[in-house]
Amino acid sequence: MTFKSPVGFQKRMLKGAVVLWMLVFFVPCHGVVGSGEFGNVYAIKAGKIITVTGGIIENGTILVRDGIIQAVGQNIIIPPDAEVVAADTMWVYPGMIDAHTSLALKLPKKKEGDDAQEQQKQTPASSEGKASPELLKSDRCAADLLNPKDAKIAKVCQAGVTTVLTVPTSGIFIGQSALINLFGDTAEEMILKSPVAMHLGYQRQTGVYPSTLFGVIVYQRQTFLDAQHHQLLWDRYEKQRAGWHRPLPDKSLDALIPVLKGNLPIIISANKENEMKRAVRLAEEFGLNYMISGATEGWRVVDLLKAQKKPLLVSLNFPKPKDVTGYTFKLKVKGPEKEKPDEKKAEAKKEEEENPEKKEIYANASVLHRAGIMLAFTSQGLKKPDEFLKNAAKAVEHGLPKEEALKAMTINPATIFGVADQVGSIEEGKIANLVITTGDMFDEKTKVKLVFIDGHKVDVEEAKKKPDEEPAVDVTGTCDMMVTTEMGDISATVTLIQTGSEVTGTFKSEMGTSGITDGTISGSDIEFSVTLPIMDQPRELVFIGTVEEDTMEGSLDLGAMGTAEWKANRPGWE
Amino acid sequence: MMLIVRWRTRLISGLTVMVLMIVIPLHGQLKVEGEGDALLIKNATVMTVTQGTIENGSILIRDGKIVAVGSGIAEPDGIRVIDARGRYVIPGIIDSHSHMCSEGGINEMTGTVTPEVNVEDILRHDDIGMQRALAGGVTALNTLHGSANVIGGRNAVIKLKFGKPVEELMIPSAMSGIKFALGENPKRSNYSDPRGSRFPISRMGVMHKVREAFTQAKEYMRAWDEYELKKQGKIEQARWEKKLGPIPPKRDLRLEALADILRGKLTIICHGYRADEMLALMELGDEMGFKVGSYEHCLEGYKIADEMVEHGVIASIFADMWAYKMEAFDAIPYNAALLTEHGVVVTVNSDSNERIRRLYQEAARTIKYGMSEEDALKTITLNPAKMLYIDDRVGSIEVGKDADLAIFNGHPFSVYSKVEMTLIEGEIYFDLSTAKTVEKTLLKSAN
Repeated sequence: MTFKSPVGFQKRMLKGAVVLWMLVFFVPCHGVVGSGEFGNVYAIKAGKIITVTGGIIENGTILVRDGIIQAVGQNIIIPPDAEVVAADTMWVYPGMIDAHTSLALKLPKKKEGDDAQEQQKQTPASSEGKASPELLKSDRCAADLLNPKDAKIAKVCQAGVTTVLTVPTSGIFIGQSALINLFGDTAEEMILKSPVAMHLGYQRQTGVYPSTLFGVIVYQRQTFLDAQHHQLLWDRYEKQRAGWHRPLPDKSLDALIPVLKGNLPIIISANKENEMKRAVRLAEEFGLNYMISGATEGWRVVDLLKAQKKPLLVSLNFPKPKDVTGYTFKLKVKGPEKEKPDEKKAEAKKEEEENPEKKEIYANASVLHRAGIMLAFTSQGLKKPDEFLKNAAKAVEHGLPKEEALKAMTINPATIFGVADQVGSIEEGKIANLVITTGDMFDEKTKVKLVFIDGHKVDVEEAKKKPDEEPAVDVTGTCDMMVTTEMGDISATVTLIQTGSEVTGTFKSEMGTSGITDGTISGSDIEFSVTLPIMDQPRELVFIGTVEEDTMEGSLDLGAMGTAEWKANRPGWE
Repeated sequence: MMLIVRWRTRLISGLTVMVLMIVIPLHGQLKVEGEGDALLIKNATVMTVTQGTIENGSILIRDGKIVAVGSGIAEPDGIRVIDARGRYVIPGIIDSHSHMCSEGGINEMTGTVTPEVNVEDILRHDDIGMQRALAGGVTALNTLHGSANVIGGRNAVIKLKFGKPVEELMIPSAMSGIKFALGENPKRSNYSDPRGSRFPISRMGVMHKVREAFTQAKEYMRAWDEYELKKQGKIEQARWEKKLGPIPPKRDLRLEALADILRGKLTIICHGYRADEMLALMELGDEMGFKVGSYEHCLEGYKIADEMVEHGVIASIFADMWAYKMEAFDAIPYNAALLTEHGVVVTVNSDSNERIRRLYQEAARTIKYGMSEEDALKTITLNPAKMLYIDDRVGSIEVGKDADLAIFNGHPFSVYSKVEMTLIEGEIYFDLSTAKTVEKTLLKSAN
């Protein structure tokens, strides 16, 4: 077009400007909005942003796009396509990291004849005290066992935790853990890092070697020696294949070679004083790059732990005074046996004030911190997800500086697991894992309102607010239950009596008989507790499940030994 | 003839008896007086074990060691003193067979031969049994693997320093040995369903297992010797080894423990009752090149005393228990005396957290059946010290030895006597006067 009139020129300029404006704003946005892989665009306006590494920002904004924190500060320009989250009266924290759980893991189905115990029984003269190769699960990866649909995930998010280290359970060489974000439809979407570390436990086997603690310890040592020899043979074979029969491949021993070399850290579970000392002994014998997880009695060996110069994963599952090493020295037993429920809280508070042993237990983290040890908190052993933060608050009450407690749930675990450039604080470039609360996280009145994981908004409040429904089913009667665990199946006869939404009754099994406590029915959801001896200690086991037309089934948390599944016929039905 | 006693005589004799009844038992509480680093125990009847009994004796302790023993020791200034008038002091009792202070199981029963396991790995310092043993005058003990395995695990010799952390308990220079078990215990452990699920269920099976284990150990030793010789160039390497050198055999902790027995580094602590099986093991030892260090329980030991002396094996027995199982049928309470008479070193042990509290009474009972008082005292002091290779440090009250002592309010072999105080290396670990408020005592010594 050659004709140039002043009006036409203006029109062209306008067109150009419009096109330019669209290019600048719409094209890139269109591309991002359409991809939808890492969530939408959010601008979170918050009253207080606790960044952890960059101080506290008052009345600031966090810009999230592509699941990443694009900007955080006080004068952030909010892009037009951003959804504004008005948290102007609220606080924002980085998503909490729980440094040791067995969340979102699915038990592998047991195959026929797979059971080492079964094999033992079938071959009488095989009592040669040899550990079954099945026991060495060093090549088992949590990343391969993830179950994104685990019902517990929602509850954990409600408590403000967005990222967990998930570890397979049970066994001695337990397997390799994965650090996961608690959001995703598939396992791949959840994985942040895998493997994170090798895990070592002290679980005694039943009926097969090793069944005693000293058997377990020597099995650990022998396995490391086996791995060293395996490494030697393969190294030599790589250098000279001529003249030698090839060494046998062994995936489990292969998995231990990076541990021996120090490239893959090994996390050893140890809580009590002597357990920690044994862990240190083993680690020193093989020069392992290790960390202890648990350390609930850490204060008792603080000098030893300080000298080790390693970070420590500290469980917030405070033991009872009578379970702490050295308690047998004291002959008196405190506390009234049975009390009225409304008096319980007052009594508990009073007892705590008078009880120096409890104070010592709660002050564990503060003692370890003062010794200069880097701490990361874990929920290992805790029954309910909300206890994680509650117990962290208790540690703060007993001497741990609040900032340190926060670091122990954010930047410290991130640093320890080598992902400090991705999570653990609110910084530009990091993953948008955020927790929006009504106030200070350590205040018991504070509620978690909203959680962001990988830049996805997760509505936690709604799930929490769901009221207890009227019972839609009646489970009065007797039923046969089968509990499936990694270590074997347990059959039980359960008698239930339902009155309104409360359930009582008895649980009879080969592990023992127990009364049913804290039983509730909400809609068709059932929950009850049973106390049974596990490894010679009485433990409270919480059964959670749903009642179908003719069956009931659900899951059961065995703490360090993982999650089991239970199934029963509907009581009263054939 | 009527015996007329004047009322005055009656009154005086009555009053005298009353006064004596009050004064004699009440020597006053045993307590430490004064301040200072050193400790003097004075005016006691000191039963030294190796140098007789000293009336009105004193023991001077400094830095945990006995620096002087005798009557008429000068009392220096600036020390703590215990006036042990009317008391008897003996060396701290040593129990040569116990399972105390362990956790997580003492029998790795899933195998018949498990010498790789080690009680040292599972020691615990918070076993209330220690406190009760101290109340019975016991200052050290040998804690063992159980007797369900033909060849069990390694022992640990510990001092009962109740309240101290676990690493302070073990005596590092003490005897290290592997627990063996013959007879009913190992074989009857395998009677449960399914029967014979673990080998063996007969005595011949038990003996076979020992032979088999040492045969395997010898093969293991041969492989390692060959490797060492090749490394040193003393024998020629195989054709394909020359480039990279010889490959060491894989270390096997089980075979290593057995090899250490053959090399004499570890001794054998063997649970056995019957004379025939005890003889058989000694003969197997002569054949295969190992020595049995001690027979535990050894209730038919009196039948083979001469063979035991020739082999050099120690008898670690019960005082007078018998017939509680078939293999204890021929046990006689004269066992200790007969063995001692023939020259066997005899120790009396408890093998029980209950019996350990009255081990001195166990030893006393052997006197009725022929043991002398001195020999009876040796069975719970010097002899177990010899068995556990700690007789350079404990087992008698001599200058230079550790101040491990038990103070009784009467002769230790009297049925009326109680332990009033127990010391380990000069520190008081048990005090009868404060035993009831034991929290206070232990809160002071614990961390």
